[in-house]
Amino acid sequence: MAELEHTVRKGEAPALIWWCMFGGPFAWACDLGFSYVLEQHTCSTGHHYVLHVITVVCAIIALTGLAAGMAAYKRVPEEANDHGVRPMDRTHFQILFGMVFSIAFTIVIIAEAVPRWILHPCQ
Amino acid sequence: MAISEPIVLPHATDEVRLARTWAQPRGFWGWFMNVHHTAIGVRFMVTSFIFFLLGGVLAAMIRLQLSRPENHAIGPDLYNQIFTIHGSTMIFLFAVPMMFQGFGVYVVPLICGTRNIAFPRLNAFSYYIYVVGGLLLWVGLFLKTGADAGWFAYTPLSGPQFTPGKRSDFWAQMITFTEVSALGVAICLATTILRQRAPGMTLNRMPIILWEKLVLSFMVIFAMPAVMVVSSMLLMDRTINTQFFNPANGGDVLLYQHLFWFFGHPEVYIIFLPGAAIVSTLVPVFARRHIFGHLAIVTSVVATGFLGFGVWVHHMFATGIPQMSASFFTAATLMIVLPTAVQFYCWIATIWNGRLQMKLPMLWVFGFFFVFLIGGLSGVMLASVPVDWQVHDTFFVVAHFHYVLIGGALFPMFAGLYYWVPKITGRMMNDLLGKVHFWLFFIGFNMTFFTMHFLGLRGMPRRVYTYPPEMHWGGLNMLASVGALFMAAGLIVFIVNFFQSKARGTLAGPNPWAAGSLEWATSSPPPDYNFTELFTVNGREPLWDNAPNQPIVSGVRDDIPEVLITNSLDSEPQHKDEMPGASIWPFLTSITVSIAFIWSIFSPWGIAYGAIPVVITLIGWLWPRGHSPAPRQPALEGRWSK
Ligand code: HEM
Ligand SMILES: [Cu+2]
Repeated sequence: MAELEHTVRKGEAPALIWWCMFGGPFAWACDLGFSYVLEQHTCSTGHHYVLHVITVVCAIIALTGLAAGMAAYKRVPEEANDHGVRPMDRTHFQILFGMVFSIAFTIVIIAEAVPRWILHPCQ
Repeated sequence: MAISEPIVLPHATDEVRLARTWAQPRGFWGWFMNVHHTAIGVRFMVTSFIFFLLGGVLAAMIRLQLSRPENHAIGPDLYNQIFTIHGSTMIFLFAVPMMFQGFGVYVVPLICGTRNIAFPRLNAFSYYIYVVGGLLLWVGLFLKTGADAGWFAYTPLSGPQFTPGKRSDFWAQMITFTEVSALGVAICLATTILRQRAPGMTLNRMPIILWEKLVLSFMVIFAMPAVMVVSSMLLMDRTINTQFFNPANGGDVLLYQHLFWFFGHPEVYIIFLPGAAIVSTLVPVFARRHIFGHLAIVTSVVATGFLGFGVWVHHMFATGIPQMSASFFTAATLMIVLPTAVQFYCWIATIWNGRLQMKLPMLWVFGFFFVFLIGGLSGVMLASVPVDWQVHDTFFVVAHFHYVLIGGALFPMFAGLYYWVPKITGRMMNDLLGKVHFWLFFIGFNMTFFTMHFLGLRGMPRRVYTYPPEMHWGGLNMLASVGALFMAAGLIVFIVNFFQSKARGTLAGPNPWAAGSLEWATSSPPPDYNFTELFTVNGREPLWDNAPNQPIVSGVRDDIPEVLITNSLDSEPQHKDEMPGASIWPFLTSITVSIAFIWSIFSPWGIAYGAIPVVITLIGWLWPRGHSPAPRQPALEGRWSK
């Protein structure tokens, strides 16, 4: 609590909150990039499970963003809101934003998993 | 006796001193030296509007040519140049410079409550370089060297083998010019938004349009280099025999498509997001309430900024990409619809819960809802693969993308112009003429482009200069061409309205719409120093939310052009910075850079020798001069509690 308070008061945000905000898009970029690059590879080697591993790992990475947000949320004082002027209000906003983002990008990662259940990599 | 010093009344000193400090240079050379953001922003708007009209003239020629079968008024070669330059002009010389640079440069510093944009000279440079790029493309057309490989200039068609001569080179360098311009402005806008917001405009209170311009600036910074690289590679293939896109020597034509669409799809959002942001700005003003779902809209805008970079392969489904890889991008493409849907819900909810005032700008917003929705529906049709196979490269596609481009950019643009022109000129636009403009344009637009859906379904391919009568496409084509006349009439009404109201319109006063953001807190048009007093902010709509005793910023000097710098997250005052003043160097640098770029079309040595004058002008630009004032901490007068 005190540490968060201290960083926030300086006009900054702790790494935890940055991760909460941008971990989701990072995980999604990894998912898309690795899946695109390794698709041919899984076809030629027959290791089809690799594509599912990518989904699971990236979804977990995105969800750690949510976890980071929830952990940070607990440390924000009750009276913080998302439109006030205090640094804690801004932090509250960042955390809400990050939690929405983490969930949204997890959903995108799952959407990108669907073709792996239906199609064959060598098609 | 010499002329005596002017006597200044005590209470007027601030204004007089500010006016002297920030005065924009006048006269012929003054025009080239001006670096104030309101002047440059207006120039971006006016110039891109002129390019819009020029592109519109080409569109009229297309419609004239296609109005009846077996028409040979325009031959195939000229027709290719016309549709290519129409598309390139509308995208690169109109849509982005208007929606991103024009509105952004004019409005953002005012909404931030600051006195000038960050890096004003870079901003001015960006304007001149854009103008030269636009002229290059058009001079090419008049020299019978008009680009003719379509607005995306695919290789190998645009390569040295199939397009000899200089046509594709003119196109490729036009890209370099316009993208340098967009990059420059992106840096200015991002810095202004992150460091020059009024105290109290914390991250969570930033108006949607600032969020959108911030996201857009980052999109430009990541997307534009891809297209600059690809157009430079094309130029090198064509001038110094590199083989990037020549498969015979180990090159790869698909590389061109990957790089182009890695820019091209974000570009679609670079055109649409500003339109959406204008809607998000206008809807609360005319619904008389705060926007519903501020956080939801902000997350949607930022999410679009990310997702926009992960869908480019959907433009390349016909290139033999493995099915599963393609479907990853289909999935992402379907997901990117969600943020737009969220924004639509928030707009409707705001209107639903507010007290709607159906003023002129709102008419255009409703036009946007209608037109963009139809474009979205035909987009859903195209997303179905069998449908796409049927109508690929037909007029169905032309209909679809004009619904989204004109719906997503042009309708919000007119909404924004009717809304902000009173700020820019100080006078209201005529309401009746505005309505005439709307209905002519709206009806004409649907006549022209709705018909094209049917033409496409009946098999009329795009990019053909004529068609035989047996196809029975004549009637619908005639209807589409008549619609274009209506649109042209609407535009004429708009131009007449603009000049008439500029001369004789009713005075607007500072805040004719009783809006809430800071640009309405100063006179219309704003003085050269934007604001007499620097405001602090107490909510998302400062003019609605401010307390009666809202503090103002003091301690920013008025005898030198100083601005307040605040921190990015909490917009706490940090220090002050002296803004560079008027200068001829940005203009001179744009000239030397242009010479180098254009020379390089004709000889690779253009880059080597051309760099010398560029360096000289850059030295002139960066030459240290003047004083650096003793730093003094800014202060906030009155109550400023946390
Ligand atoms: C204002 C009235 C307009 C009319 C009547 C019009 C008409 C047309 C027509 C008929 C074509 C197809 C030419 C062909 O394939 O043979 C076309 C192409 C195109 N238009 Fe428009 N247009 C208008 C405005 C715009 C605007 C505002 C934009 C963008 C913001 C735009 C962007 C494009 C693009 C990108 C192409 C594709 C060019 C190519 O095939 O390379 N147009 N237009
Ligand atoms: Cu796309």
